[in-house]
Amino acid sequence: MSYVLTDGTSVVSMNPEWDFKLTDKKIETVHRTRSGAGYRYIWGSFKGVKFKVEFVNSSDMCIVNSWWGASTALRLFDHSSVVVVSGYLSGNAPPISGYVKPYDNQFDGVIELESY
Amino acid sequence: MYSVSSAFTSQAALKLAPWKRKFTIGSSDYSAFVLGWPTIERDWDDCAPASVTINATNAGRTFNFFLNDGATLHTSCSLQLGFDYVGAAMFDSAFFDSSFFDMATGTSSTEYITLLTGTVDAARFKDEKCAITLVDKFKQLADRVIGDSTTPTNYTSSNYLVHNLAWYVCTSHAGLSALTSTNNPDIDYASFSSWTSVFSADNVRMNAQFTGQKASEILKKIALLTQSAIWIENNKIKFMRFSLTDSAQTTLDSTTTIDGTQVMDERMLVNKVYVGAGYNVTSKSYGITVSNIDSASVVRYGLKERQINEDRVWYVDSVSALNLAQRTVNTGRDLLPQLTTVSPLQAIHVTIGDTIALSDEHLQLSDNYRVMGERINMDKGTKEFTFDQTQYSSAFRLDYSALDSSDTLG
Repeated sequence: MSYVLTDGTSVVSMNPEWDFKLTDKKIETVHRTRSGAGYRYIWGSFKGVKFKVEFVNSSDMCIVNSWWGASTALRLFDHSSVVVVSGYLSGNAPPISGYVKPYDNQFDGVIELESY
Repeated sequence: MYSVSSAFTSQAALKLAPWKRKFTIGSSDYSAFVLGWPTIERDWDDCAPASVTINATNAGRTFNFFLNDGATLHTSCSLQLGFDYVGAAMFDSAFFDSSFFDMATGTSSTEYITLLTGTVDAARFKDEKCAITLVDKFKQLADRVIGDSTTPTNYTSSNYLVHNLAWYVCTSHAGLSALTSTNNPDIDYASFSSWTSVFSADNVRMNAQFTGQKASEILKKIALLTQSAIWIENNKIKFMRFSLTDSAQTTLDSTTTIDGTQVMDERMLVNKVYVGAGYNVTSKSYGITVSNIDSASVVRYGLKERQINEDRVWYVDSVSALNLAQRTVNTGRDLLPQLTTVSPLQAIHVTIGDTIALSDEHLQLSDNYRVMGERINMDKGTKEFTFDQTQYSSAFRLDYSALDSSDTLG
């Protein structure tokens, strides 16, 4: 799988691992009346995506981590150039932060994007 | 009742109604920053400022403009619920209304009920969050006092009609608009005009002496002394004395209520009332005491007495005082259920003073009730109504004393 993460200026290509997971969460309230009728009010929703990446070079690592640090608005494109999620990198630690053993110039981490 | 289109009511009744909530400061929409929406409460005779707190994210320092300039707290804010009529996909032929969506041109529209308009009473910042407390138009009445303890403001030189006194309190003292037309931005002049006709017809007159009371406190006393509903609807103070037989605007039953309570509270009973009048501010005593009794109710429930004396606003003569005494007995002589229901938002446009046909098989209810209070939970999307029939004149009461003059059917 080949994906592209971009802020509109810089572009980072990614190959997500098989733990790739799309999420879509509704913000809704459900009311069940005394006769059993159901009222369902959807106030909003937000999407997300989470996947592990490996073998990211130091340049791409710096770009992605700086996006996280600045809460830059990003878009994740799939292999058909369709936007999967537009959002920010979430989490309270830089997304790419570990070495891939035994390399000292390849990194791994978890990309977690939530829509804005 | 809030003025809404038929498309709005049709849309609101849907089980999947696509509700939208809006929080605006000035002309800017801050809805996207809201973390928790408030519950808006009002009752028919409170006359007290309603305040609500909106929890919002301030991660992007969005609301720091309050810190930079305290005067921004006075910016008009509003909380709204309604619909964006965008595109044909939103519509069902059953509730399609061409006034809101033009199929030929594809234009769209919006329709919202403004549940609360006010200013910011306080903005509290903590970490990345901001809690914004809004307060409604009664705040202006609560911010201003009338007279003081050494130089009281007297309304004793002539006998004032009730509505004239209320008008002076709201306009001369509280600073609300004195425009005598429906263009008045602060007072619902149509309702005020109808309200005046009640007291003009009955020639109900008052005196008053204010020694530093808040304008809202005086308005509350006037509401209590006249059994009037004074509340805020569409950012205007509305005046009404419920006396008409109204047809029900909507129906609530087990398919449209989530929860409900019914209370029979004997403490609500009043069948003999004493009203003090002709107050002497020097001797601090009442020159007149008027009473009224409902003998049939006394036979049925026992004597339930109440004395009503006000020393800041008072009736000037026995005829005026009797007006309150009779009304208090008429509305309190029977033990009537007090009801609350919690529903989704299908009856959001129904508000204080409106009538709802309520039915419940278990409680054996099937009658019309007047809405006396409302609580709108914007977070969950529910509306709680408080009902009773004390102020609803079509409620059936068998006054058997009037049938045979002996308080006994025979």
